Amino acid sequence: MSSEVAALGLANQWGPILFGLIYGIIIGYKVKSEEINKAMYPVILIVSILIAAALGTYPDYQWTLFGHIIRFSEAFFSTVLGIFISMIIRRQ
Amino acid sequence: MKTSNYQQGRNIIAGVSLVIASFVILRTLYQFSDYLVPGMSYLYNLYSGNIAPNVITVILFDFRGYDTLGETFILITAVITTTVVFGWGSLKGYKKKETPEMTDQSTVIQRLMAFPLAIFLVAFGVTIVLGGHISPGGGFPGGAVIATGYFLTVVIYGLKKTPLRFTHRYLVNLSTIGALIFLLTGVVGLVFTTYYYGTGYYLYNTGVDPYDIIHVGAFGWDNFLDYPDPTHPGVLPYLNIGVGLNVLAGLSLIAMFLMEAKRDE
Repeated sequence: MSSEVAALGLANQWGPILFGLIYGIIIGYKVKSEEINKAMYPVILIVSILIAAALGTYPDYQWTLFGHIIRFSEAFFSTVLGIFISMIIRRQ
Repeated sequence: MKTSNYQQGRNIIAGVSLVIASFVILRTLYQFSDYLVPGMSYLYNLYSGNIAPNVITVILFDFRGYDTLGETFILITAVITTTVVFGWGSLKGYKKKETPEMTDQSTVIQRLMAFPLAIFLVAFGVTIVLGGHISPGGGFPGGAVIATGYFLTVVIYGLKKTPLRFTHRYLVNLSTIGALIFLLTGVVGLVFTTYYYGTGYYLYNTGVDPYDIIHVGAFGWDNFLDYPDPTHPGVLPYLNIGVGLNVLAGLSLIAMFLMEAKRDE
């Protein structure tokens, strides 16, 4: 399905990004960050980028940039971002 | 016993909701024989592919929409049962004391890896939830994967020191919101089809904007509220999102109550 969607140019990934952020903010709101080693945060971000790249277009959403398909799981990465955003909001 | 105004208001709302729900259910049951048209299933099988984007969602949310609704409420019943059996100790204030041995049993590697793994499990669960209408995933498996992240942190760090510090009220609210999203989306379909076609059809896929009210068309979207997806599945992703919230909250509540349960002495 992925290649067909890309060929049709219909792929749109804003939905997973939006709802991934919402889910991440909902769950991240209850994360207590005081007892967590701060060095973990950049590691989590980098590893989540790697995992999202490894997941590829799952679940079948693609970001097309200058005619090239970016094989990246936006839902996964936006959830991790949402958790971090929620933690930042909570600390302020 | 004198009840406060707040409690009276809640009782009135509960009573009105019960009357509305009873009316809808009785009306549906009363006219049930009218809906059963011979040969309808043959016609429906021909056209079902146009209602949902693929055969998985046709089966899950259309043929077996009531079944999915029932599963959602089975989970709530399971949570209530677990609460009654194991949770009354925590409600009474008999919280099990976490001895240092309990949480110190986990090794340094476990403590170091549990939180990042939980974050990745949560993110992967959300990915499964959001792809439920076009892949073999959905609200149930996705919510279960998210709850697994919570289990992991609770087992490794203990209930009091876990970084994912959910509370009872928070999880109950999440579970209720998830169930209500599913229930009310189905009621919208029921009302829509009753009003326009005269056939009450619960969980009818009305699309997200049947009246074309919010037609924006920005960014190439056909509709602002439409889940931006090449298959345009209408309300199905939102049903998955509701089920996912319900399942993650329900399973996390069960885990929390089991951890809080007072050991029978």
